[in-house]
Amino acid sequence: MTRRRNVLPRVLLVPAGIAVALFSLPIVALIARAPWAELGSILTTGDTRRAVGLSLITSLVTTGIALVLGVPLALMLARTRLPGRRIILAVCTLSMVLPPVVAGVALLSVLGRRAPIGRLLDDWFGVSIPFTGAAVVIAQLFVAMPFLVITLESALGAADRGPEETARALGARPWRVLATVTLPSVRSALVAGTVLTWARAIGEFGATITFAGNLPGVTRTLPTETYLTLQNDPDRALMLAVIQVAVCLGVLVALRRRWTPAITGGRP
Amino acid sequence: MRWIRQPVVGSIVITMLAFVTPGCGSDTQRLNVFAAASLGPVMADVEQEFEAANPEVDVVVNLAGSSTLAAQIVAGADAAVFASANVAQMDVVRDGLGLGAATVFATNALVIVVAPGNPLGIAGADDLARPDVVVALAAPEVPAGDYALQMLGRAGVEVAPSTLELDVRAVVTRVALGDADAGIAYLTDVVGRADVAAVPVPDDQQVLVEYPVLAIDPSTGGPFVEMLTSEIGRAILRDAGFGTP
Repeated sequence: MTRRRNVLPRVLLVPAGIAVALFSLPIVALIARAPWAELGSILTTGDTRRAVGLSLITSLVTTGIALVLGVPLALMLARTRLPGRRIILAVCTLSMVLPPVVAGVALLSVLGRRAPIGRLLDDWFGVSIPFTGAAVVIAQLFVAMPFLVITLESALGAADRGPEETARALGARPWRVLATVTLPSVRSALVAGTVLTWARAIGEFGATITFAGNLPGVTRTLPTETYLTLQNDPDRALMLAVIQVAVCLGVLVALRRRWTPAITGGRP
Repeated sequence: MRWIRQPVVGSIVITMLAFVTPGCGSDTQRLNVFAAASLGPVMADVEQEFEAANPEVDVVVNLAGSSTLAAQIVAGADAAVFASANVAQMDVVRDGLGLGAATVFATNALVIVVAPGNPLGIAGADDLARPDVVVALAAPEVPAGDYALQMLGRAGVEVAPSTLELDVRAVVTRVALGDADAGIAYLTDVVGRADVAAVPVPDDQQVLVEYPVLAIDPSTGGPFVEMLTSEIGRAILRDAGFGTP
């Protein structure tokens, strides 16, 4: 193996190091402060299990729906001459910059029981969205799906379109081009966008509490459980935060094993 | 993450204020009043009255949740007066700083919050158990939720709430927006609001909600506490819906 020449100015180590400290120190402090002796009892309580279970289920459902809706949206935005596509892209990613609580209020303004669509659902089907698991998923979708759309759209925009056109010219049907040429060419962006969306969904708090509310086993996700616990049992809250970090790291590591070849193109 | 962040933010803000506000002149004395968030409108009025009577004093009111304020004061924040929304957080400060007894200067009562005109005809706690009534309560982890559970216990009613909100204001918002039919909140949360109505809770189900105040620094804070507990302060409190002992 040949030694590679260093191509970067060394001084960049300083800001890079500060960045690493910014991310790592709070997590290290969290882990150091957490009452590990109570881990067993905290993990086995019904409240913790319900919250972890609800967070996993809702965030995975959200990720699935985000793929079904978000991939077509990104394809439409990147591969068609849709009028106003820039505006559509801006609107569809606006929720990323909204304070989550405002996102929750916005959802209530459409789907609340007295809001335009919410009222119709209530009148016609007797269905009320707030305070349900569906509301948790909708809140997560609203704030998390843009991560998939924006990641995929920019990768599609940067990808070479030659192979697609060639495949089409050689007679491949659109579905086949999509499945065998277009999507494989942006596989790493698809994976990264999916993971980002899931991570944002499982950490969602503000929009969920505002739109969906808080009820154990129905709408109380792990972030809400942690926030409430902070009011009167900070130690347990810290442990819950560590559990959240562990769950997310666990899923990411599992995914990495599965997807590393896809992301790095076979490099270890 | 309010618990972790706010003491830090609060102390930064206080430090900055300490540099900024002495612009009023070196003969102006600063008086820091730490008050529970629900006392905001009351404290603004008392501040005005106090500064009118004591032009040499500049009152600065720091509003936050009582537990946050108590933590800041115990950690050494420069508070001359602490007005808490519950006795427990006042005890945190008294125990932490070794101070004497506090004075209860205001009381609050629970009410059942309903839509204007009370379309579902909710007459009392019993109706909160009706299957057609969507109920929002504060979570038992916050004081208002704890009080609500005590009240329902006294009424002997089992309620299945649709949501347990993180603070009592959110309960009122749920009813105001119409996503909940009823909730339990403080009387002072609904006084003067047109978008919700209140159904009173009978005395035998009512819960005693007390607001204690203490001059942490008796020489500077004492006069402010005196005004708060004087007839001037009591009139302001009553206008806002509080009871005065």
